Amino acid sequence: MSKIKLQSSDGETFEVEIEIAKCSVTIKTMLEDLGMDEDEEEVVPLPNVNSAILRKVIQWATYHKDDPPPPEDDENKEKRTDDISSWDADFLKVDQGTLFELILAANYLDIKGLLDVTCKTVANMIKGKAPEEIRKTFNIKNDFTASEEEQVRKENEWCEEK
Amino acid sequence: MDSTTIEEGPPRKKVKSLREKGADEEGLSTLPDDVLIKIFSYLDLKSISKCAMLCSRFNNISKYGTLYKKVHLKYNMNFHILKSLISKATCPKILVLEYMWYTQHPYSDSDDSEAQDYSEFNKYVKKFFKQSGDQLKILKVESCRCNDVLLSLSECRNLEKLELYRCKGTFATLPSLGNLKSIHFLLCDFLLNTVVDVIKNNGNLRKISLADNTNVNVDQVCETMSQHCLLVTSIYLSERKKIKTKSLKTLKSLSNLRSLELICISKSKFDLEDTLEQLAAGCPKLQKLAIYGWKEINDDNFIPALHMLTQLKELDLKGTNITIKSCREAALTLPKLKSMDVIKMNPIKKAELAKLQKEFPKIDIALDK
Repeated sequence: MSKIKLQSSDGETFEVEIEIAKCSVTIKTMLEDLGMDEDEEEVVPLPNVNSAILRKVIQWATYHKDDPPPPEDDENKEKRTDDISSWDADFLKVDQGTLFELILAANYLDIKGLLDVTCKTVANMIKGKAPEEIRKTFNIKNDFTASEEEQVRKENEWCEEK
Repeated sequence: MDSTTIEEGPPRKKVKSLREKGADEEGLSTLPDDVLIKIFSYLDLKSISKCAMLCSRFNNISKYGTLYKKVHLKYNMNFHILKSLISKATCPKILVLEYMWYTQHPYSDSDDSEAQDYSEFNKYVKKFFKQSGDQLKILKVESCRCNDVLLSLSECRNLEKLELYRCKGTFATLPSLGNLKSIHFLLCDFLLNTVVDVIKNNGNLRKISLADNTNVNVDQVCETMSQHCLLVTSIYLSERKKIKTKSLKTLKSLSNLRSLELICISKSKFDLEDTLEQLAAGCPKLQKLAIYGWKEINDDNFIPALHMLTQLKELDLKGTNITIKSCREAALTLPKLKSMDVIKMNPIKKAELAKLQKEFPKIDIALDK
């Protein structure tokens, strides 16, 4: 099985099977564009991903390497968030900072499956909470002016009705 | 339970918020817009509205049109919700439009229901149709009696699936829709020919379901379908009206038909054997056949057709006159048969069916009257 080397932003290199690395569309395109030969000892630099996160991403990709490609988003289908596998749920029991970094990495590396499951996890953290609870959970600063806030409240107050 | 959590909360929260202040740059707010939109796309409308109240950036993202693919408008929504929902939902795919549930008989002309003031709601509905009706793919309308609203359905020119339930109006513009793949009309009050015209103008129809409407001529429906809608895979007709064998026979041109359900009161015996046979030959993909209440169907005219229904999985012949002979024949000759329901209003005895069930355990045979 041929391997390539991925280098994180802090300079650590990881040796990964090409097939696993290619679950990232970004890496796949990079390899194709560069015309890298599989036996070449080339290192792919990933300046937007640090080693801790890259290690997690590789762990995720390795576990999911035999998954069928995730289905295209069906516009008419209701989006579910209760279908996260137990392995993924365990994998994502991390602090918020790590979760958001994983999202950014999945977005940058273009790994749809990982982006889907991390976004679902965040959505689940939002669902069922009152606005103030969401604000506290994610430390979101209120930057509305008094009149804007009044307007926004009017538009959205129905969501606080039971 | 909530109050205890809050009481226990403060000390822990303080520590957390201190720690998080430092990590502020890694918060939810630092994610790019397209990722936040993706996260929002997993939320229900209520949760999106809650997020919209948090900060100006989230508020802007909450107005992103594609988040509102499914919109549910109810007559009792307040003015602000309607206004804000309609201003945000710029490219909806699914709309459910729900008026008051009418308790009286749908055909009655009593004015009680009109006493309800829907004018404000209707104004917004029409505005919504005008603004983004052409984006809609799926529309479900319940209990609407406002002719103006029903006329403006024609704005939804790209509609693929239309469900009308307990609606009443002239529907004068309905036949102008031409991209429908599925129609489901139940308990509606139509004018003569409306439904036939809709079918005529929608050659791409796959599913047709009509039940308990007024002014739907089933004979014309069958004849129109078989001329104009050759892609139809599923027909459900429960208009409780007489259907002529001649019209039933025309369905033989629907070679893609997979499911045929007829609930009818037919006395017609004329040409029945040939009709059923031709129908079975013309629709070789038929997987579900349900004919209720056609007393003149019996072993003699049904068994020849039966042999041709090689793909049949479900057989439902309540209220016909077939006997255990047809049932046995079906069980023996139809390799894919999974379920059989013939017991209600039939001369067949339960004991006979129970015996058949023992012989063919893989087929699910209904035994309760």
